[in-house]
Amino acid sequence: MDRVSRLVEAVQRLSLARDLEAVGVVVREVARNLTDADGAALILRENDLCHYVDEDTIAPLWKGRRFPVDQCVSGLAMRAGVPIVIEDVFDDVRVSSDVYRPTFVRSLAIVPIRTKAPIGAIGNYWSSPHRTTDAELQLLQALADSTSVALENIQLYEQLERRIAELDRAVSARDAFLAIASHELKTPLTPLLLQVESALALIPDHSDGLVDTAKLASKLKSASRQIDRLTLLVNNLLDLTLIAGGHRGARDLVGLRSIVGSVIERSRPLIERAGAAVTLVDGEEVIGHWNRFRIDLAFDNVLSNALKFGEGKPITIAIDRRQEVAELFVRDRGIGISREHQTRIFGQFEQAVPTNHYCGLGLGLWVTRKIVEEHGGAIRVESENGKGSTFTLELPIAQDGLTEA
Amino acid sequence: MSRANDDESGTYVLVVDDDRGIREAIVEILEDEGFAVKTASDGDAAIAQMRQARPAVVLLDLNLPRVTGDDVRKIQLADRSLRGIPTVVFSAADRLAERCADLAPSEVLAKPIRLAQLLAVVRRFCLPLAVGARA
Repeated sequence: MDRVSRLVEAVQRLSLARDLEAVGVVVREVARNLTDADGAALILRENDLCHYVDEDTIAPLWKGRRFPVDQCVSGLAMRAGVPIVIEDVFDDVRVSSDVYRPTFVRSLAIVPIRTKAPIGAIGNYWSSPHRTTDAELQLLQALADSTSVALENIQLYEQLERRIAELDRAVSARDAFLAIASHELKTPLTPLLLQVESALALIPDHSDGLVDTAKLASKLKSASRQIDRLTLLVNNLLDLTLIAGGHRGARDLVGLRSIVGSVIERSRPLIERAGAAVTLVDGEEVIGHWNRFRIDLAFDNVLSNALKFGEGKPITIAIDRRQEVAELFVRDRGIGISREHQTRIFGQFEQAVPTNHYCGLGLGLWVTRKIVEEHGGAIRVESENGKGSTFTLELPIAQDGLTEA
Repeated sequence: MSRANDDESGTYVLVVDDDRGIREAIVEILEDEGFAVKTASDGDAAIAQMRQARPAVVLLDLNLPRVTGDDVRKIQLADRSLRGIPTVVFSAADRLAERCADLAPSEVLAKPIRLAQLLAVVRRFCLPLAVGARA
């Protein structure tokens, strides 16, 4: 096969390469054949190092080794973006002959992969002095150009695969979410339907009968409570859509202690049902630039969580200011969270234990994390199985300049 | 299972659901219709209640905390003394029929359930107290 045919074949093989290894195989074999060299190597740049990725040589050279860019000829070719030809390594001021003495190399030609900001190089080596012709250099440069395209393809291909995997995960997370959301939305419908139908059954067909108004009122009250629940669920879903979409709420100067106090007040029925004593430790108000409704929701989620998993034991809430950061602590003494679950609980649609929390959507702590992060803060948990958990929300007091439009 | 045994303990409806609103609505309706009703909010409590006194019928939700409704059915099916208790699965879960395939329930109701469905299924397995006393 003539040299051009070899090059054409190499270009075809490179276009099919899906990983670095495949590219290495083509380059080392073809580069050597194209110029009848005694060895060829594929070298890739890794920041300040030249990585000898692969080689095909009559005797081992530098495969797998890395050299500083400014101390090897391939580095020189990469930095200059031009081919470098050395006819005799023992008779060229640009190289130190000591480097080559232990090897078979007497002569070499290096072409950069990509002339603009090279990402690597292809090296050709001969065991006797060799004057590389312009035609040989052109063939090598053509191979290097194809290699550059192949390497970029691999990168794109990997990005594409990563993106597909991400999308697959997102789709299954969404499917799981929809299943939970539909279950939770249907749950209040059962008592609602039963109460309304049994209320209707109380009203006699003929108006001469007496209606038990007390019972009717109680059934309608119960039905109305279920409607409130459904309304809350639907509203929360809408809120979540906004938060998940990265929609930034308006900021005002608000007091953290006043928000926390009002959430606790509002949650009285839930607190009573959980049978837990909730204490807000006395202290000074901490005022910051926050979105009142979202901070309210963020704390509400953490409190609901503590009530749900607190086993009715006391819950302590404290607010503190450490320099420019407000800290909100929520400590329960309940079932706790095992170490393996401690990072997972802040994920979307995750629940360490399957139970209906934050409307059972498995989103509560994720929403809290999103809200806190959107305010430039952080959430963390310290917990031990069976001993309870302490959630800490950190909120920078000043308006965060970074996300400000 | 002897007939005497059925008469002896199968007198009440056991409602198993972790949702308080659902338990309250069903208890109120069934008690108004003259049935004796007990409730459980999770699978453990349901099994304990079945062992303590045999219900005439169990209305069983599937998505329960800790021990699920599916688990309850498996425990029932593996236990000679619990296997014969009529059990109606009622759930808002997706693909309910598929999920119940191995659970061998007496009947499956998808939530939300209607009043007529609730009363019909309970009457199939349980006599109201007032009627039972007269018989």
